[in-house]
Amino acid sequence: MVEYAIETKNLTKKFGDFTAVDNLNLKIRKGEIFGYLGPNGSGKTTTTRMLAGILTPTSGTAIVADIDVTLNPEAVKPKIGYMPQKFGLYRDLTVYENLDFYGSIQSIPKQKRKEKIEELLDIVKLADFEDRLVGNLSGGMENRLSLATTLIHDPEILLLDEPTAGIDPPLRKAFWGLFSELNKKGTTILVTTHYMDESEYCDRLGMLSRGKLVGVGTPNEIRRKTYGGDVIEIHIPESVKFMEEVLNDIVEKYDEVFSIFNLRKINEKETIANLIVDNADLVIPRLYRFFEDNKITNFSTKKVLVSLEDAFIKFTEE
Amino acid sequence: MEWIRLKAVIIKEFKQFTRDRRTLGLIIVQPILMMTIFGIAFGGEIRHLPVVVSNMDKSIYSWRVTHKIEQSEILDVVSYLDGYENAKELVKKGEVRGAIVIPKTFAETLTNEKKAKIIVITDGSYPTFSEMIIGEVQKIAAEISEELTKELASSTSISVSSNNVQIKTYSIVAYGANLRNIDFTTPGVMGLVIQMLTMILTGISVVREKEVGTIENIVASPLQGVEFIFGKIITYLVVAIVITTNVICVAIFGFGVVVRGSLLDVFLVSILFALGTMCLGILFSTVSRNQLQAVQTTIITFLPSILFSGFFFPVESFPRIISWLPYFIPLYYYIEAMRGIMLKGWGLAQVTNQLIALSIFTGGSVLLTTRVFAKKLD
Ligand SMILES: Nc1ncnc2c1ncn2[C@@H]1O[C@H](COP(=O)(O)OP(=O)(O)OP(=O)(O)O)[C@@H](O)[C@H]1O
Ligand SMILES: [Mg+2]
Repeated sequence: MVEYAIETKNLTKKFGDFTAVDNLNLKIRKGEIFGYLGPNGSGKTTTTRMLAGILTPTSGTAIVADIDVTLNPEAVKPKIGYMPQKFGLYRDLTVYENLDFYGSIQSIPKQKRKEKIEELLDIVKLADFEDRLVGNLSGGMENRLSLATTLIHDPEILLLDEPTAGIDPPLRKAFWGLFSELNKKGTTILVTTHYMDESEYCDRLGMLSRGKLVGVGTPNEIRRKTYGGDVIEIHIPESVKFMEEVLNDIVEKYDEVFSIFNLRKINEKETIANLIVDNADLVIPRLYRFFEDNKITNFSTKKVLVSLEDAFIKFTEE
Repeated sequence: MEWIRLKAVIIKEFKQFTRDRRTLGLIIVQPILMMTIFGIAFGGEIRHLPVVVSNMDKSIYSWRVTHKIEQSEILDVVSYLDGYENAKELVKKGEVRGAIVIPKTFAETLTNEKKAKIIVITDGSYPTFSEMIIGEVQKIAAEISEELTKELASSTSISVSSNNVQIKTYSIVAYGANLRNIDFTTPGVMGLVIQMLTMILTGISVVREKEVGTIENIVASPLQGVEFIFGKIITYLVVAIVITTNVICVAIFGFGVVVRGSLLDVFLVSILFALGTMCLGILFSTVSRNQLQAVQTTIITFLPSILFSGFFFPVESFPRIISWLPYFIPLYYYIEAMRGIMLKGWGLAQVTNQLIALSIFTGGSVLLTTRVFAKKLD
C-alpha cells in the first residue's frame, strides 16, 4: 500500500521560455482533500492537466494512483475523474445524453450506466433537466453536470479545476458537502479554488506562486507559517513610545516572543501592536502577569486568527 | 477498439449531426445546387490536345498543313507516322485524342481540281475535345485555302469564284459516338461536388472539438484515439452515402447523363471516393489548430484538384515537369474510373488501378490521422 495518491518529483512544464510549473514536489495522501491555491496564472491548471495525463511535462515525474503518468498516461485515465476549468461538455446534446456518452466511453454497461446516471442526476439535482440541451443550462447547472460526468465511473482520484467558480454560495456549500461525502468513501480529491473560505474544508493546502510550491500544510499550519508563529494583539491606552518600550522589554524577557509588528496608534491615548509568538495560549497568561507586575492596567490582549486570505497574500506576494 | 465506446461516439456524432439544421441542408440542398452550378459553369479554354499526324502525301502543300498544325496552340503533335489504320488505332487506344491524316492524293487533287480533303479522326467519348480538334483543323484548312486562292490569283491575275481552292475536312469518330458534352463532363462535376461537400463537413469535425473545448474531456477519458476517429468516419460515411446518392440522382435525372456501365459500380466507386476525401478532411481537421485553418486547407486543395485531375485539361497534355501531379490527386482516379464506367461501359475489373489508388488514399489518411491524433492538449 503506497501512502500517496499523487506524488510528483521535480515536475516541470515550460511553454517556450516560460516556466509555468517549476520543479514541483507535491505529495497528496490517499483519502485526503487537497486544496490547491494560487493566483491567476500560477500554474494550477497546468499542474492538474499534467496529473490527468493530458499535458506532457517538460521534465520530472508524476505518480498518480500508483502509475507513472509520464510513462503511461492512458493507464491513469480510467482511475481519475477530471473536471476541466473550462466547461467541455457537448452543448448540442442533452444532459442525459452527455452523461450517457461519458458513461459509455468509460465502458460502463448499459443497465449499470442507467442506474448510475439516475443516481448522479439526483445528487447534482438535475433530474428535472435531464432532457434539456446542455447549451440551454445556466452556469451553475453546467458545473453540476460537469462534476457529475467526472463521477460516473467512481474514480479513485478526483482532479477538480475550479469546480465552484462562478456558482452561488448555497451550491458551493452543497458541492463541498458532496466532496466530503465522496472523501469519506475513500476518494482522494485535488481541488483548485480561489475561495479562501473553501480552503478551510480541506485537509491540507498547497500554495502555488509562479509555478513554485511556496507553502504546504493543514490550514492551521499554513496560518502559523504565514508569520512564523501565532499572532497576538495588544491594546494599551498609552502613547506609542510607551508601548514600544514595554514591548521591547517583553521581547527581551521571553524567548517565546519573537517579534513586534504593526505598532500603530489609534488616537493620542491608545496604541495597538501585534506580537509574533511561539504559542499564543502559553504566552498570553505570562503577558497578563508581566503587565500586572509592571502596574499596567486597562490593557487587553488576544490571539489573532490569521485569515487564510492573509496567508495566501503573504505566501504569494514575493 | 471496444464496441461500447465506438458506438458511443457514433451515436453522439449522429445526434450532433442531425440537430444541426445547416449541415442537414448541406447534404440535401448543396449537392443539387453545386451540381447545377458546376454543370452550367463548365467551359473554359482547352489547349494542347495530343494528336498524331500522318502525312501520306509529302508534297509542299501538305507540309504547309503540318507546319500550321505544329504551330497550333490547341493541338500538340506528339508523333508523326504513315498510314491511316495505325493512326486510327492510336486514337482508339486512347493514347492520343485525335489523328490528322493527309491522304496521298492531297497535292494531286489540289492542283487538278483545286479541291482536297484532310481526314480527322477523333475519340467520341470526349466530345469537347473532338469538337475542338475538328474545329482547329477546319480553321487551318480554311486558312490554307485562302492563302492558296490568293497566290493563284496573283500569279494568274484572274480572280473568279471558280478558282477558289477548297480544302475540306472529313471527320471520323473512332470511338463512343453520340455522346454529348454533359455526359463527358459529369463525372468530373460529380467528383468535385462530392469532394467539396465531404471535405468541408469533415474538415471541421475534429478541430471544432478543440475550439469549443470538448476535446479536453475526451483526451482525459479512456476513449482511444482510434475509437474517436473511427466513430467519426463511420458517421460521416453514412452522410457521404446520402450526398453521393443525391449527386448521382441529379446526374441521371437532372442532367440525363448516359450510364453505359452498371449503376451499382458508379455508386460503389463514388462511395469509395467520398470515403477517401472524407478521411482526408478528417486528417486536415486533426492537424489544424482552428476551424479557419481547417477550412483554408480544404479550400486550397480544390484548385489543384480542378486543374490537375483531367477535369478541364487532359492529363496527357501536361508538360513533362508536372505530368506526375495527377497521380497525387484522388479526383484524377475518380474521373478516370467514372469516364470508363459511365461512357465506355467498363466494369469494376477495368478500373482496378483507380480503385487501388483511391483505397490507398483512404487507408493512408486514416493511418496518418490515427498517428497524428494525440490524446494530449499540447
Ligand atoms: N498552452 C499554453 N501555451 C503557453 N502558455 C500557457 C499555456 N497554458 C498555460 N500557459 C501559461 O502558463 C501559466 C499558468 O497557466 P495556468 O492555466 O496553469 O494558470 P492557473 O493557475 O490555472 O490560472 P487561473 O487561476 O487563472 O486558472 C500562465 O501564464 C499561462 O498563460
Ligand atoms: Mg486555471
